[in-house]
Amino acid sequence: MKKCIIPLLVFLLLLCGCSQKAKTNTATAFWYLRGNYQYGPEISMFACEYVNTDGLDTESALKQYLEGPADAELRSPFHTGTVLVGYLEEEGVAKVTLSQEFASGNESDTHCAAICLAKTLNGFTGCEDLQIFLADAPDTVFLQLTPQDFALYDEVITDMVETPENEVRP
Amino acid sequence: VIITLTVLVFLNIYTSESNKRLFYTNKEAAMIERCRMMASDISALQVINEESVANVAAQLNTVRYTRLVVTDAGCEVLYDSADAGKKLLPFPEILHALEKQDVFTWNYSNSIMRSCAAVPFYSYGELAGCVYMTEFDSEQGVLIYSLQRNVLSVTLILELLVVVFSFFFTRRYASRVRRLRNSMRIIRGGDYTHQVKMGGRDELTLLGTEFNELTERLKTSEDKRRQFVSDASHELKTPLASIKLLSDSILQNPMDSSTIREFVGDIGEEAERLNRLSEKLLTLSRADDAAQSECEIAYIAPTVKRVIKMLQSIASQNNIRIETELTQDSTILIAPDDLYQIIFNLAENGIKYNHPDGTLTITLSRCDDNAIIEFTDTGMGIPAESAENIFERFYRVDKARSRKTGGSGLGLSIVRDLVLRHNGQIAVESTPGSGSTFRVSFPVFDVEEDTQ
Repeated sequence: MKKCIIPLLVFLLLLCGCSQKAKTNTATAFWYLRGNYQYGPEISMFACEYVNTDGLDTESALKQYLEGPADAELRSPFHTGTVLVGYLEEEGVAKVTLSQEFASGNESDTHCAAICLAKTLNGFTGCEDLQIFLADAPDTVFLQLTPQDFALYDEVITDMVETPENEVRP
Repeated sequence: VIITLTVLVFLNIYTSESNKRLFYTNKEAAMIERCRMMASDISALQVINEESVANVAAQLNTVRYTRLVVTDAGCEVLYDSADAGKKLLPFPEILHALEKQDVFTWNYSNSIMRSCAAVPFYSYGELAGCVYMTEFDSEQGVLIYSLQRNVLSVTLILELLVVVFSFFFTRRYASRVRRLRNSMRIIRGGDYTHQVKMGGRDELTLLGTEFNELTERLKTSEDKRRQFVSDASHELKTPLASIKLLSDSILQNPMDSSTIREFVGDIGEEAERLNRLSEKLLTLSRADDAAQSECEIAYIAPTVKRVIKMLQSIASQNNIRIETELTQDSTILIAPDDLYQIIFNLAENGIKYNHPDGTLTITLSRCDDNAIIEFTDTGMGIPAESAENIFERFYRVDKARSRKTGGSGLGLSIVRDLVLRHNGQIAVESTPGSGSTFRVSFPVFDVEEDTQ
């Protein structure tokens, strides 16, 4: 009897693991900004909601992403009217062309929107580098980002909590 | 215990939070001030770029911070003391400051205090960026932690003491209450000699003392009751025995009609004595148990006169002269029946226990605020050893004479009870062979003064 039960349990566990994997495959993290400011160690202004993109290509998923979050506690960093004009992947670089409205907000909003787009595309396509083009200047890179270019929260101070002897600069 | 524990916990939390709040306030003021100083210097620059900002930061190297970041309005790094190599730092504090707000955040955990401040700066009236500063302070964190720990230790010790003291106090208190309860059970069982012993000097000790006094009174009362029942039985038994003896004699012995008539007469006399005894017992019982009779403001002299009128025939039979001095009459507050009973009993005694051809003098007088009634006879007097007992129930100085005169031994007892009931006093002075003086005093009721 034991001989039967153990393989059965192993099989069931494997089945559970497979089913979870299948789930994550079809749910894509769409990154947006939090509606309210929150502070604390390892807390950033950026948060994601998981959206089922099963059967969608990258372009369609991006269009859906630009429509904004369903979660009421999140807000879209993109300026109103921003739409996807074109999308291309070349040698691991995601090249996104957006309408002119993308650059119509203030600088910090534009940078936050670029970071959200980079993180979303990274999760969906695996592309780490992002180049953003504007529709009226499709040959000029408006903004270029890699994951090394930004930090969402103060990692330095978080690291220092682990090593307090390094603390304060006189 | 629960209330004390709650208070201690509350004090603990309050002290801890107050300390933290104090540190927070000081830290906030200091860091915002430093950021503003930096922002002010940057705002004064002609050109704000990485180089010029680095120069300003270098000039402020005496300012205390852990990390200093200066960004432009797009959260792009102009200067980072940590040199983390990042181009964009969209931290919540920086984004908030770029909305033209001063920001201060504070976090305390694991005895480490992490403070963060961000202040916007302007160039030519336009938002140009923000200064972000963090400070990682384990020194103050340790201070807060040690304060919290000390307060907690003191609280725990106090709580422990409260619990221990409460436990012992409750046990001791419960044990004493149990002792008192057991004593009550013993008394309820009829053992009035029992006395509870309560140590200490608290309310329970006072309760124990009161309880012992109550028990003492119960014992006295019970003793008196038993004595009374015993005496009353004996007194009732004597005439009954005489009646039985006389009736048996009539039934068992042949007698002529005149002897029978004599015996029946004796039976009648015994029955009459029994009747008087019963009446006196009833009067005594009423004096003991009845609620306060309705009192009236009364003069004493009219009652004295009424009593003399009633007793005049008995006095005349014994050739006893009754003299009165009733000029100093006073008003007293008393039940009229009780006043009559008191005067009647004392006057009757003065006649019964007087010598033939003797005198009974009844005098009314006033001493301070007391009305005095004195009954002075020229009788046999009372021996000194009996003077203390004459007010006891069924006590007789001369039993043979008392029986002969129809005394029950209850008259003076009734008088004493009635006098005390009306806040009066009674005393006796006697010289054996010369006579006795009974002095009764009552507080005068001044009609004008006392009714106002």
